[in-house]
Amino acid sequence: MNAHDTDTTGEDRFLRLLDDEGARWRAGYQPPSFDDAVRRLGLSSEAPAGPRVRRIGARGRGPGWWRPLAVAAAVLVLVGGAVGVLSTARRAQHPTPAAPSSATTTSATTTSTGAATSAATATTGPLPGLTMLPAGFAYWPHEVRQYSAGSGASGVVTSRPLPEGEKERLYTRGGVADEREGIVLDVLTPGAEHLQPNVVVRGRPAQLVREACGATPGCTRIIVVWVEASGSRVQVRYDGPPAGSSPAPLTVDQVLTAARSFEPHS
Amino acid sequence: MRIDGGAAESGGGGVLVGDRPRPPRTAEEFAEWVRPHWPAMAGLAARLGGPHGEDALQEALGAAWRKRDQYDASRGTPRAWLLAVVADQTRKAWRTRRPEPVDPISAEVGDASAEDREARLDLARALTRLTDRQRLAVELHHVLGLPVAEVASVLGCAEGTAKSTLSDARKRLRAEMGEEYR
Repeated sequence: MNAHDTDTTGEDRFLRLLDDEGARWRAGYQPPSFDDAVRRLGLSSEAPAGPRVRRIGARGRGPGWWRPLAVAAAVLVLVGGAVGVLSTARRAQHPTPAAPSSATTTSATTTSTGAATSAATATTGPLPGLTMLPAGFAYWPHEVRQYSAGSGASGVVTSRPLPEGEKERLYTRGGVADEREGIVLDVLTPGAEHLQPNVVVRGRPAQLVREACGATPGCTRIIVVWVEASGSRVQVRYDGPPAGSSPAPLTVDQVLTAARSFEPHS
Repeated sequence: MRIDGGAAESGGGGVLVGDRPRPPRTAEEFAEWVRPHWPAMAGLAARLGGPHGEDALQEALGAAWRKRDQYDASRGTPRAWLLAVVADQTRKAWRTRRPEPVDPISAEVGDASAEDREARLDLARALTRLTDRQRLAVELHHVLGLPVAEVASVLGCAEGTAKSTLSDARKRLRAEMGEEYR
């Protein structure tokens, strides 16, 4: 029966239209040449089946060549972010006792305070190098000229006070005056004491001194001074926890540990 | 054009090695494997791709060559697999080139009566309002003449789902075409 001959419902009419359209189209459509399409494709019998492997830098990179790079970049960003978060979390779990939130400020011309690691609390094992001192510390660098013990220093000629309460001793050496000693720390505050005689910071002789903080009752200041191999004198001073903060003061060993891990020029 | 005959009826399988079909490996095997289904592939590309149909068809042929080892005879006929590749490439062409709504019938209504011409144009317009999936199902079943089981294979779904998709598509087409077709 030809569906077109019957007057049927709208649905039948629709289906008939649809199927007629398909039949008409199939009858009239001429596909393009398959052989031409294959030729355009340039198939090679040697072409391997399976996953394609493309050498990096090979010529004729496909349109998706950037995808592996984008994936690698995304992985790097994610890993970097995760490491950063973990590092922050670890720091939060093990705060440095000498790193309260408020930093000590001093009148020194070059004072670095703030960033801290757990180095101040550690007394053994390799330490991460502090590039900034924790809060409660202060740092004064000075360029000094050094000479070795056998270089002919002939004794104190004179001395003059420095802004941080030290004295600079002037020596003569070989008839030339105004040579400064490598390490000079004359603490003017009464009651200051040298704590250990043979302190070493990164292989360099250092001085470790404790003194009262002046007007602040109960405050003890700890100072470590040494001269780097480059000739820079480094003085690290710990004034105790900043006012208003609760952590207990660091011990002398902890201050010395922080000083040893402090590398201001790294 | 013969779309639903020949090797397409051989059912599942690629190149027979012993009793087990495997995907074609060489260019010659591939060409012989695709050739019987080329009219259906070309027809689908033309219906779905409109002016860009031939480009999509060529790209589909290249994609089929590159992915030929992914063909699994247990999941459908070569024709269904190849048509799925064509549909995929046509979709990609839509995304990148955004052709004008395809109107495959309007160009071929010269000898039809005025009423037929109008109905076919209505149908062509209604087809463009289907979803991609509904359109593909209708083209495969009603235009290319594939059985529902093979439509399901191309769509990658169960036969019942393909029937449902076709039913929804027809319902929408009737709604688009007006009262007289409901």
